[in-house]
Amino acid sequence: MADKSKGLSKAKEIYRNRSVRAKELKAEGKKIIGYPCVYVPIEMLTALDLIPYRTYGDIREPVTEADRALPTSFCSIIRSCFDCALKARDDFLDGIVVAHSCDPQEKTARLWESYISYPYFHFMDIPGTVRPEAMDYFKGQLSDLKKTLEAFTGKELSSDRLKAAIQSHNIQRALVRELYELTKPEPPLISGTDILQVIKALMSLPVDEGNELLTQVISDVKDRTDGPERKPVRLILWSSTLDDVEIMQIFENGANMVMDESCGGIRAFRAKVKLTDDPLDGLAQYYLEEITCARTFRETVLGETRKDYLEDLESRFGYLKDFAQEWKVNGAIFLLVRYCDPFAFEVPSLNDYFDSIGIPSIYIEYDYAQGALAPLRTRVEAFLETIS
Amino acid sequence: MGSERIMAVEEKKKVINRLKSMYPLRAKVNETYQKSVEAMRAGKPTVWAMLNWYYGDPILKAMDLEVVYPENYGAILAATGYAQPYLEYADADGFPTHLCGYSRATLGYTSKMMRELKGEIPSEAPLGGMPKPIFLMSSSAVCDARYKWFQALGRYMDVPVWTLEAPMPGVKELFMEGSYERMVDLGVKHLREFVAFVERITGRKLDWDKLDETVDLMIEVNRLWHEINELRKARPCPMHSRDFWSAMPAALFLMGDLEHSLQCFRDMYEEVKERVKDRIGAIAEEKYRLVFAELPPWHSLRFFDRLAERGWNFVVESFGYRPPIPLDLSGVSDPLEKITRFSLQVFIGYYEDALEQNVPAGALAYPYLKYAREWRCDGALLHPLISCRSASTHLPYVANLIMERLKVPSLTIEGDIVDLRLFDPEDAMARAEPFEETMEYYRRVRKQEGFDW
Amino acid sequence: MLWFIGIDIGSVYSKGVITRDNEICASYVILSGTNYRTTAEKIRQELVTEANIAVDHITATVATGSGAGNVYFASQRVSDIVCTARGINNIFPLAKTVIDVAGQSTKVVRIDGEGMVANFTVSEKCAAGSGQFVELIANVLRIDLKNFGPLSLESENPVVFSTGCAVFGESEAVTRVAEGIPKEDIAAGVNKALADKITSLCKKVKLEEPCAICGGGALNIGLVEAIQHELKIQLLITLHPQTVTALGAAVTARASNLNS
Repeated sequence: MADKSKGLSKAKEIYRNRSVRAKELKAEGKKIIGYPCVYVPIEMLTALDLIPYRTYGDIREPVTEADRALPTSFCSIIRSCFDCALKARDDFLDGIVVAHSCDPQEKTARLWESYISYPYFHFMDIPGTVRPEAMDYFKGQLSDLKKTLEAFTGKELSSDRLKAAIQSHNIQRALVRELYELTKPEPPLISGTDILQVIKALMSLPVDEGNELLTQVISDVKDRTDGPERKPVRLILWSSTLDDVEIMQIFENGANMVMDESCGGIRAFRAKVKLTDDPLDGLAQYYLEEITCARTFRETVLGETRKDYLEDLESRFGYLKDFAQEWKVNGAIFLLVRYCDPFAFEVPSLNDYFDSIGIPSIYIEYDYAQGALAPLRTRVEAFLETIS
Repeated sequence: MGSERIMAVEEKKKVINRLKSMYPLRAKVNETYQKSVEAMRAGKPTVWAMLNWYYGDPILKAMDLEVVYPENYGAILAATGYAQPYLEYADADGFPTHLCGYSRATLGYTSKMMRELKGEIPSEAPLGGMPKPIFLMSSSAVCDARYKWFQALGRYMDVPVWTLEAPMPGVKELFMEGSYERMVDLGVKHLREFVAFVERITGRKLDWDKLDETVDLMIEVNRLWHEINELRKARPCPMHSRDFWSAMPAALFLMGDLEHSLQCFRDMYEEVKERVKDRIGAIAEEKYRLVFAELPPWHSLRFFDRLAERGWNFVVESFGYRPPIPLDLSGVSDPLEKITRFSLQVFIGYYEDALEQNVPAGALAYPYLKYAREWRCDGALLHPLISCRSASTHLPYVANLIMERLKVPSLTIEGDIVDLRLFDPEDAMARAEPFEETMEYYRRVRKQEGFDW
Repeated sequence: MLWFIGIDIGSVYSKGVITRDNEICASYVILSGTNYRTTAEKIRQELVTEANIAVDHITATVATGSGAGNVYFASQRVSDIVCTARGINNIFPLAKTVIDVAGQSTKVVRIDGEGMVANFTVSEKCAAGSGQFVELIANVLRIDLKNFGPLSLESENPVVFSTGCAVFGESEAVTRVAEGIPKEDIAAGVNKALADKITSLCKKVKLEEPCAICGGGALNIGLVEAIQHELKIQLLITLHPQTVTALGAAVTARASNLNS
């Protein structure tokens, strides 16, 4: 009889009650810094002994407070996230770092700063391309963040500390990738629903505790015999982010979600930060180039004067093909909330790409609200039927 | 007798006293299109560009390239009623319907042109349409859709895209040591790469002297344009927003011959100065002074005439279209650096004030606090557009800001950039009446609180 | 004796009020139908009949509402927002705010000491912010609109509608019915969702007490309770909340007449 407080059970417990550990740590005198987006270089927080805490919305919480500051035609995920912030859901936060990843993040940053007073607030700009001069600029942004963090904590963010933090976070990334290895078998040893909870739990814990949890989870999953049932369809999900089991369960009713390429799945863990002499170089390169978010403009060859559509698709989405093939996927879901612009523009191209690799796909739009999941259900059911 | 009657009728029609000097500037828009159409027919290479706030345009101009702005073309499609079929093409191709109406119209247009017509301009396209370009110049400033949309066009045309970098720092973050210099550094290096790219793809060499000239003219034209708008602080306001929107493209898009534009703006400056001296307003009786945000309903500008009849004078508007607050570039010799600093100034020109006033939204929102105060506005007319989030998201924030700090009320009237049914002028007029009472109420409140207007 | 008529042609209902020396003499509510001209005439006829006068005894008529242009016999057309303010000011002179829950939209209007509009806001073009949402769900639940309010008050466990959209809300309601959730819980949930949206509008315009409520939605006692609960205030409500705007039009007719 496994100790219930370890591994998967613990992860699920944390998922249900995310803020428990953060509040404990706060009571011990630690400072908790929130971040709404995986572009924020949390290694820098860890290095200064700050606890990174990802902020989320809540599909069960009707948006009421955000109305006075944001129109309804706006990304419903960020809207909910901001609404929860206004309702002081995470009032234990000592500060927040917002990044210029997409428009909703950039525009809400101003509101965050205006309507809620945190002891610490920092807005980090991110360039649109991955060109060398853009990378230089982004490195400058990281060094500005370093300065304000140092001013806030009164400590020096030394190179050594940062390198150590990068190591710890790289370990976490490797462990998450190891976890995803366990979805390769048929049936997968762990469900998408469970992984979602594990990852959300990781984003609520200090990195070392998260690594411990992950190690235990992996061990649990390898040892157990009561894993998920085999379903006729193996899916890959492509999305901005997915953070609620109720949504994931809609897919796993009739399929195994073996790969989740979103900020609720593998995106923040897919690659690792290179260890460079100046650690800021490695961080800049990782965050600008390795986060596969649609907001960054990528081309096959920088400044290409000759363009080829198919080459372009391959260079931008090739990593998805690798996932699909290695995980033996036979269906793809492109899931977006209404009003998500950067990802939405990619949909027809992504369709073309998945057609070219012979995997059926479907684009589904949803509203980030529990009450809006019914249409999602019917579309998913119909799609799964066409595949199996 | 008959001619008097005709004159009386004509006078009645011109509720807004338009500036004479506006007309030649407005004419440049059409002239530029005509010239483009001729150039296209002659096979001259065309570039499709996004509004880039003076950053890439001077280079294209100095290299004598034909430039077409699909954002503007989208407005034309909407106004002429030709947008719908192209929107349907975009839908059929799987582009989600919440996307920017201009982008969908362009994507649909391109889909038809390239896939159905094998590269021929659709015959029904108004104003000569848009030919297949040699490259696409987009910009990430203000809005994600603007560069993702050009990237998405790759589905229909193997045309290279260059995305101009547009940094957007936070207000207090801008003033960190070295931060601004790094933005300038990014801008200059980036432009150098862009020039190399354009030279490679066009086979032309940039004439740096010509660029110098172009940039200096661009700066002077916009300096004058800025001064003209400062004169509108006078009471009564001598120039209405409609004149701003008509003349603006010449300055913002560097349309036509810049020397000619310079002369036109000089004329406009003189005309406006005269009006200020003689206390001539843009409307007969200025009862209310309004600030407008953000994008005007291009297809329904007569709506403002109806408001003018009620005494509504629109005295300041559209942050996104305004010239930058002038800055001293006399010590800068590199034209690429001049361009960079000038372009950055559009957004960060207000940051110092915003920092002092403790308003984190230094671009897009803080400027309206300044406008409402300095142009002494009685109210704000806010026009959110359902498919243009970048032009709408800041509006609730602006409303709160100017109410809290200045006791200036706002009226919200919804619309869209391509679905023109969403703007209901009758419903809007029904809200104008109670808003007049609101503006009068807040005049009294401001008086009590010691404001001087 | 001076008689004034106010006619409010709305998209769903049309209302009329006749006043005699600033006292309400009669009021009338009818479905707007498709011919607003005839509807306006019918209203006028009903009012003069009730008041026992002939049409030419009416001193002046003011029309308001989206169909106001069809009231050809009106001497003035006045904005419905203005009329609502004047109407409430006539009934509750101390009221500083009024919430008007109409079929197609909800308005919140702040009123100054003289019954003039100090500030106002209108719900977005969205069914979820108006009485339409309630109608949609009443349909789904197959209950009469007039029973919706009382039924919702019986709920001890209201459904939480998480979506802000009426279309999704409708399908959410259907799902709940299929799950066997009691009707009163769904009705209460709808009222709460609408009350939340209305509360947002009130905050936008900085509601001041005393606050009144009017419009067709005010007949929904469950909604009124929900709003009171959210705002933590007591709302002033008249016996005939639907005709407040029409009354305001009649008041305006009188005021204009006295001025000229």
